[in-house]
Parts: sequence; structure tokens; C-alpha cells
Amino acid sequence: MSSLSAHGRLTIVAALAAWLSVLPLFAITQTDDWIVPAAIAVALVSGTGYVLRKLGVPSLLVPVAQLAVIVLWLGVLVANDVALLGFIPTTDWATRLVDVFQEGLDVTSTFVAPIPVPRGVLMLVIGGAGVVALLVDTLVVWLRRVPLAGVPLAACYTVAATAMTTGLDWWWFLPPAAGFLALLVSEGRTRVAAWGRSASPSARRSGIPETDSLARNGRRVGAVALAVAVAVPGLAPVLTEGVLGPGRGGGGGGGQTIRTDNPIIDLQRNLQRRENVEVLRYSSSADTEAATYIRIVTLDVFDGEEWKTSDRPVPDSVDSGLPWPQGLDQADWPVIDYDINVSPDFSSSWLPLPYPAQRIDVEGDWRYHAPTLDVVADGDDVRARSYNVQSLVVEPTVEALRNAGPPSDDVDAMLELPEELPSEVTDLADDVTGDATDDFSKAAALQQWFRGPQGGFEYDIESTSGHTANALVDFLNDRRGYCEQFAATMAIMARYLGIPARVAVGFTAGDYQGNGTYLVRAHDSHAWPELYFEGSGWVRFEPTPAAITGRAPDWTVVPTQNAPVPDPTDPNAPTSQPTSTAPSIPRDDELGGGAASGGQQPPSQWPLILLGALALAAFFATPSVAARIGRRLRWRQAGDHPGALAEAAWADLREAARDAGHSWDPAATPRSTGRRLATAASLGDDDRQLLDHLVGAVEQARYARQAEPVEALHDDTELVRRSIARSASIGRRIKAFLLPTQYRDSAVEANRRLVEGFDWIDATGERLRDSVAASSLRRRLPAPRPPAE
Amino acid sequence: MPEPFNPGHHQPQGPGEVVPELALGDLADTAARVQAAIGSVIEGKPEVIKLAFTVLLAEGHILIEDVPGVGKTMLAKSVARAIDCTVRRIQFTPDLMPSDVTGVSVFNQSTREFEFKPGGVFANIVVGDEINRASPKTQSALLECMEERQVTVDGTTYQLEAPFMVVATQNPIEMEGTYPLPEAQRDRFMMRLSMGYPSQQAEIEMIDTHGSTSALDPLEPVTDAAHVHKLVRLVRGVYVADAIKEYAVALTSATRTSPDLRLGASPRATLHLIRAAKAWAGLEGREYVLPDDIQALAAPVLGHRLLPTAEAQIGRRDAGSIVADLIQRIPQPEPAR
Repeated sequence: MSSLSAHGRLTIVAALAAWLSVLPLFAITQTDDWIVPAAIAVALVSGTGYVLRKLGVPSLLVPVAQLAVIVLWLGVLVANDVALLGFIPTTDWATRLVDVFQEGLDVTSTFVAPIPVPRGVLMLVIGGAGVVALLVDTLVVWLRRVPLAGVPLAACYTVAATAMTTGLDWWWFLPPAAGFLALLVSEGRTRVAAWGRSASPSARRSGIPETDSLARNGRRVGAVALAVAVAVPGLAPVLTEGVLGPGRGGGGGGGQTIRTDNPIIDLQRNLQRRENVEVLRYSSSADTEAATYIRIVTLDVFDGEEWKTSDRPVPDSVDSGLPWPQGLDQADWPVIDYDINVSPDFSSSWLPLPYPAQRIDVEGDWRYHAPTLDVVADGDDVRARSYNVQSLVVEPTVEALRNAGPPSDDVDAMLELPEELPSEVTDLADDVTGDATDDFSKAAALQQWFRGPQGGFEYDIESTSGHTANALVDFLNDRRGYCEQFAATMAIMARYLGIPARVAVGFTAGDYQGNGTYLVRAHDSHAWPELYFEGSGWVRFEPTPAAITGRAPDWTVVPTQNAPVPDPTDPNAPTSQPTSTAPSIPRDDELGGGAASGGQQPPSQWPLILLGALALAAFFATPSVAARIGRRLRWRQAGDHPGALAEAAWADLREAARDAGHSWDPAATPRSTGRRLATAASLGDDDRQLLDHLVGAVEQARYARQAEPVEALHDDTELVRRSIARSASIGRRIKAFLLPTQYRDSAVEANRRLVEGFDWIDATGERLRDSVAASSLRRRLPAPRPPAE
Repeated sequence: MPEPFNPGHHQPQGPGEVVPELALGDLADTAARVQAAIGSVIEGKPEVIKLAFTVLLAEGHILIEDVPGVGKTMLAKSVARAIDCTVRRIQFTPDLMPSDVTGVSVFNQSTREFEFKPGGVFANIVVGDEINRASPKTQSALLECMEERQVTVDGTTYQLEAPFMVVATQNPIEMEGTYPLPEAQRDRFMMRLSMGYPSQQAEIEMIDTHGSTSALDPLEPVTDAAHVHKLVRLVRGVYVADAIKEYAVALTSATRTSPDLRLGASPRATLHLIRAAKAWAGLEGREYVLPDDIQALAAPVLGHRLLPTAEAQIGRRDAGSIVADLIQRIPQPEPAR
């Protein structure tokens, strides 16, 4: 085995650690072909460092050179066509690098993980790997500050963990942690090695002094720490479905599959799902312009209790095309061609479609409802279907909407409301739209009131489900709710104001995935109101706050003289690509919200806090309650057998003494134990007598020919126990409460087993290594010649 | 001179012996009286007196190893006097013959028969003074009597009296002209005791009380040999739990593996330990042995049988302190759960 300098070893281990630390990025990228160039980047950085240091180049210059190597390597990857000989920088080369870098930044700020890996992202990932390698190399090999290397090593993991809205799986933590441990161990050995040479055979063989025991301890400590770091958060109590059974939004029975039988119930359930399951992907030739809300069904009847679908005959198949959208003037609206792929996890008898669809190419018997353009199958399912849709792009102007005439008789039904609406609803509707003169202005004022600061509404996915009259009033009072309530309330108000309205249920546009493809997931579930304007047909409004939905449709925003755009919360979001989607908010609420369920009252924080406090108290009290139960069991098991009773009393006494911090010598006789305990706990005369009583009982039980029943043993034991407990300091008592002796003993025992296990693994590893070394040595020796005849 | 010898006077009874109608309370009473009586002669040594009485009840023998003049012989004599039993003193000298110890058959001219003249060993309590001065041959004659409690002369076996206890003394500082007891012989003594010097106070009191008269004169017997013999049989019935046996064995085994010891305790030592513990428990009026009894007796019972290594001796660790260490380390047997 060739001996390797300490420098070389550390360099290699540092490179390995850097490479391992990049692995968590797999979790947030769609493809994994970046790993090879990333590994090359790491190798280039480490190699450069090693060679330059060997050549005696000033240490300060080494990181600079390493950085240059990273940049050159990135150039080879993304700009080799504009560089001289493929790698020598030119002006175009520099421009290209900057452009690609910018592209990468754009992609990362636009997409939700997992992101695709176009060249811009590739550059970021590989450059990141290189920089991590550079920092680790600098810290470890040059500065010898190994513990600090943990910071760059944690960088990629942190990025991945924050990027994943659904949380990163725990095992991604292992590679960076393992790399860091390897670094620590290696550096420790190198440091010890600097003290001199050793004569042990293994040291001579490997060229480094005998530091095996050191390494073993390092591995032992490290492995335990790693196991604890991974296991403890997993064991900590968190209010999740896993612990408390399926939550309200857990989709009980449905498993991963998203069903839409009752669109409204499913909507909230989808939003509350823990896993953001893929629903469908759609793509179009029109690239980024194609972002569209996807509708599933239209709720066009409000019965005073809830919005629902009207009874609708669906006689006509979609095979021969769909009718012209209701109320829309015949004009040459642009048409976009969509390919929609529904995921196998999504089940529905309604066909998810953009509005207004005009032509659908889909297998099966699908029928449309003319006024809403909803498409439904009788007994068919859209699960895992792929189909093609041609849809109009209707973007009415504010002008056209404002000048729309009175609605035609066809949509009179869309104005129907129950006789008695709660006065809160009507009053508020009148208030908000007081200044508006025409229908469109009223609608726009309503939308702005819901979205803007005037309304003061807050998005809350945990709020009470439903949109009945009562729920409606609650929503208006609390000003908390989610999209369904915003949509339902705005639609009711619009009908009250004389504007035909209905509620559409479906999905927001989803996340752009590149190549004109959008990904729609469960957390993109949405509901929105559609208002009817003669000549423009059914127009989508967006009363749900911008944090969830992005900007309101252009045509629904009234340009005013003073305020330019009544949408202060989200000025940066591009119209066609809502970047922040529902999941970020429901997830946060979900964690603490498991308990605040049901009821018409506004959800108060107090029950939650109380519950949390109770849970915390229960958590801390568990060990000592368990110990108490254990004691009781012991007495019960003893029954009325005097010997067993005495032993139970003695065991109680032992626990009490050790909990109070007094030593319990296994070599001491009961009598001397009693004497020592009485002194240590400074017991009074009464207690001493009780203690003597206990000692006598246990002596009888253990050593006499026949144990005799002892009176009041249990009560005496309790009294002595309490006196001993009182003798302990407060700190001791708290410690005993949190972790009674018997569990501490179990923990110590478990730890001993664990350490023994590690030792065994270690010893086995060493034996394997030795035997491999021995066998390779045998191979190298010439085979013994057969003896000459 | 002793009264005419009457062999078979105190025949030990067989296994089917009647349980004596004595209670342990009597034992404790008698013990207290005997100890008080001896205590009036041997001042300031209650623990030695108690140990000596324990050995008597446990049917063992005592080796007292101490400097001259601290009351070794006085202890033996006062025990005998307090109990109203026979006591004989044999001064061991280099020319002492085995027959001086066991006895000899002489021809009686008048009856024209051989008549047995019992030796010094025929008494309830035999004081063997300066046992290390006699030749090994004579020593072993005594030691055989101790073990077998009988003497065989010219083919006739004579039972020794019961209770029977040998109190041998040995002077550790005089080396010239002595035959120190070998380990195997020492093993036959149940305990080795050391009187030690009295405290200053005790010595002053001793001058006051015994300065003029013989110390033994005012000592009146408080019990008799027959009663003591009943007590001995009572002690045999003291209960020894399995846990105690385990503990005693653990202790003696530990002496055999201790790195500080060249020679550990023999199985006979375990036996002696248990027997002594029974007597000790009986003295306390207890029907069963406690581990505390074992601990209290471990040093006196085991001490003289152990040979510390040279390292331990250099470290000034004698057998007593090594045994004390072992007691600190050996766990009490826990009852099965």
C-alpha cells in the first residue's frame, strides 16, 4: 500500500465529503444527470488544490485558482461553442455564462421543487458543488478548521430542505452528515499522527501511526450522534395524521387518489392534503401564454344552504364539438390547443377543461352541458386519461364589460336567490358597491374589497367548511376563509346586485415545468366566481387574496385615476404564472390546526394552547406515571405473599433512594443499607423506625426459614419513600420526575448494548480488512514451486 | 489435678437427638451473663469475648495470636470459669511429648491392668499455651484431637468432653526456637483472634481491680457445661437461607481469585464461616443468619487462612483489609424475580 501524505488524505476526504453533501439536491431536481459534471467539478477543485499546494504556491492563491477552475469548467459545459478550443474564454463566452446564470436564477425563482434542469440550473448546481468543494477544501486542508466545514457541507441540504414544500425525506441528511464525520475522524487521526511515529504493524502498513482506537471512538460517537439526530426528531410528537388518525383533510380511504364526487368537499380536502399529489399536466403549442385555470364543474344553483350543480340533462356528446359559450359575442377569438394528461392518482367523472372549450378529442362517452360547458361521463372516469382540447382565449376589455347591456333572459335563472338572505350579506354588498353605477364596476368593487386591505380578509384553509347562510355570515364576520368561501360569497353578492353569477370549481394554472408544460397538483385546487356580462359571456373573477392566486384577471380590475392597481400584495407576480401556490399556507396552518375543528364559533387559539400544554405535560409526566404504575403492579403481583411484598417494598425503597440521589450499594446488606440511607437522607426518628421495619421485613423475607406477614408494610413504605424524596434537592426531584431511576437504568443498558453493537461492527470491519490484506499479500507472493523430482 | 476420668460422660448425641427445650431467648440471656462475667475480668474487649463465646457455641477452636501479657490465657481461663467446666492448660515446650497431650496407659500393679491416664486434652476448655514452641509431632497430636474430638490410645478410643474447645496461643514476635503452625494446621482453627493492648482507661481500671488479688477469684460461674452443650445444639438449628450460603461461597471463592492473595480460603473455611455465623445469630437471639453476620465474622474466620502476595504485603495490605475489600465488592444475592 502506498503511503499517502496527511495532505493527500485530507484532500481526498474533503472532496468526498463535498460530493456527498451535494446529493440532497437529487430530491429537488427532476433529472439526475448533473451528478457526473458536479463530481468532476469537485474533483477539479480538489485536484487543483492538491497540486498547487504540492508545488508550493502561496496558500492564498489556491482558492483563487480553484474558483477559476470552476468557472472554466462551467464554460466548458455551457459555452464551449463560443470559446477558443472549447475552453479559452472570449467575450461571447462571458456573456453566455452571465446569461445562463441569469436563466438559472429565473428558473429557480419560478418553479416549485422538483425543478427541471435546463442548462441554467445545471450551471447553478455544478457551480454550487464546486464552491462547496472549494470552501471545504480551504477550511480543511489549508486552515485546518474542520468543524467549520460543517457549514458549507450543510448548504445543499439546507437548500433542498427549504425548497421542498412537502419536506425532505430524512435519509437525505445522511450523506452530508457521513461526509462530515469522515472529515472529523480523518482530521483527528492526522492531528494525532503529527505527534510521532508508531511501531504497531498496522501503522507501518498504512503509513500512519496507530490511531485505530481514536478512530473507533470517533466512529462510535459519530454513529451514535447521527442515529440520535435522525431518530429523535422522528420520535418527537407532532400532530399529524400519522399520530391522530386521518385528519379532516386526510382523504380517508382514498389513499393517494384524489376523487371529485362532491366538488366542494373534495376541494378543501385536496388543499389540506399533506402530500401535494400530482393531478394533471397540460401543455400547449403556445408556450407560456397557455397558462389557464382548469375547470372541473360549475355550481350554478344556490339553494340558501350551498352552491350545487343544477339538474342538467346532458344529451349531446362532445364528439361533434361544443356549442359557442353562453353570452359571448361571435368574434375571431384566438384558439389554443391543449394536450392534457391526467395522473393515475386523480379520479373524476368530470373532465378537467379550460374554459371555454370548443373541441375535445377524448376516448369514451363524454357529454357536455351547454350553458356551463361542463363535460361529464356516465360511468366513465378521467383517471390516467390523455386528451386534446381546443379552447378559446377570451380576454374581454374593461370597456366591453362596462358597456355590457342588461343580461339576456337565458341567464335569469342565474340570478335566483333564496327569499331571505342574511342582512349582513345584503348590507355589506350595498355598502361596498355604493359608489358603483354599472354592473361591472360593482363586480370589480366587490373583488377589490375581498382582495384588498379594505375587506381585511385572511386566507385560512382550516376555516369551517361550507357556504351555507350561517357559514356565510361567519365568514363575513371573521374575515377568514379559503377560496371556496370567497367565491361563494362573491357570487351570492353579485346575484343580489343583479349580476348573473355562478361558482366554478377546478384548479389554478399550476407550475410551469418548461417546454410549455404545466403541472397541476392537489394543492392547486381552487374555486372562483364567474359573472355574466352580455357580449363577454361568463367572466372569471378572483376574490381570493393574491397570496394564493396571484393577480386578478386583467379585465376585472378597474383602472382608477388615483391608485394604479388595487393589488398591493403581489406586484411582482407575472400574470400568466402564479408563482406562489396554495401549499405554502395550508401546510403551515395544518401543523398546529389539527385540534381547532368544527363548530360555528370562530376558532379560538385557547383550546389549542391548552391542548399543547396538556400534551407537553403528559409527555414529561409519562415516565414518572409509568414508574408509579410499575410500582403498583409490583405490589399487585406480590399479592399477599409476605416475601414478595417485602421485596416490593424494598424495590420501592431502592428506587426512591436512587431517585433522591443516594447511592445504593449492591454489596451492602439490607441492614447496613438502611443505616446508610437513614444517615444520607437525615431521616427523623419516626422514619428511622419505619425504615427498620422495612429492613426487618426484607431480612425476614430473604433469610428466615419462613417469611411472616408484616403489617402495614405498604403504608410504611409510602411514608419512608416520601421522607426520602423530601430529602432530595429540588433539582434532584425534577430529574427524578422527568427520568425515574428505573428508566435511566434501562437507558444506560440500551446505550451499553448500542456501543457494544458498534464495537462489534468495528471489529468485524477490521477483521475483514486484515483478511483482505492478508489474502492480497498471499497473492503477491510467488506460488511455491513443486518439489523437483 | 483433674478428677478421675470418666469416659463417655459427655457422649455427643446422634442425629436423632431431641430438640432441646431451650429457646433462643435463653441463649441470648446466657450469652449476656457469660459475657458480662468474662467482661469483669477482661476489661474493654467485649468484641473479643463475644467472638470467643461464638466459637465455643459453634464447636470451633480459637487461635489467639498476640504479644505476651495481654491476657490470652486469662481469656481462656475466665471463659472456663464463667461456665463452670473443666479447664486444662498445656504449656507447649520443645520437649513436650504427644502422650503428654493425649494421655498414656500405665500398668496398675494393684489391679494388674493397664490403666489410662488422660492427657491435658481431656477437659472442656484446653488452653494450649505457646503452641508454636512444641515440635510439629506434638502439635499435630493436639490438632488431631481438635478435629476428631476423640483420643485413641493403645487401640482404645476415648471421647473428649463436650463442649470442647481448644484455645491455642501463639507469640508472633519470638522466632527463635519456634515451629510456626503451617497453613494446613492453622486452617483447623475456626478463628484467629488478637487481644490487642487494652485502652488506657481499661488498663487503669485493671490496675485498680486486679492490682492486689487474682483476677479470677471473684468470678463466679453463671452457667454450666451441660447448659452450654444444650445451647450448642440449639445453635445447630439456626436457619441458613440459600441466599446466605450463596453469599458465603461467593466470599470464599473471591479469596481464591483475588490477585492480592497467594492462598485463598478452603471449603472448610466456608463451613466454619457458616457455623460461626449461626452461633453469632443465635447470640443475637435470631433464628436465622443475616449477611451482616457473615460480614462481621469474615475477617476473624478467614483472616488466618489467607496468604497475601508479596505485593500486597509491600503495600501493607494484610488479610483482614483484603477481606474487608472483598466484602465491599461482592453483591448480595438478589432474590429471583
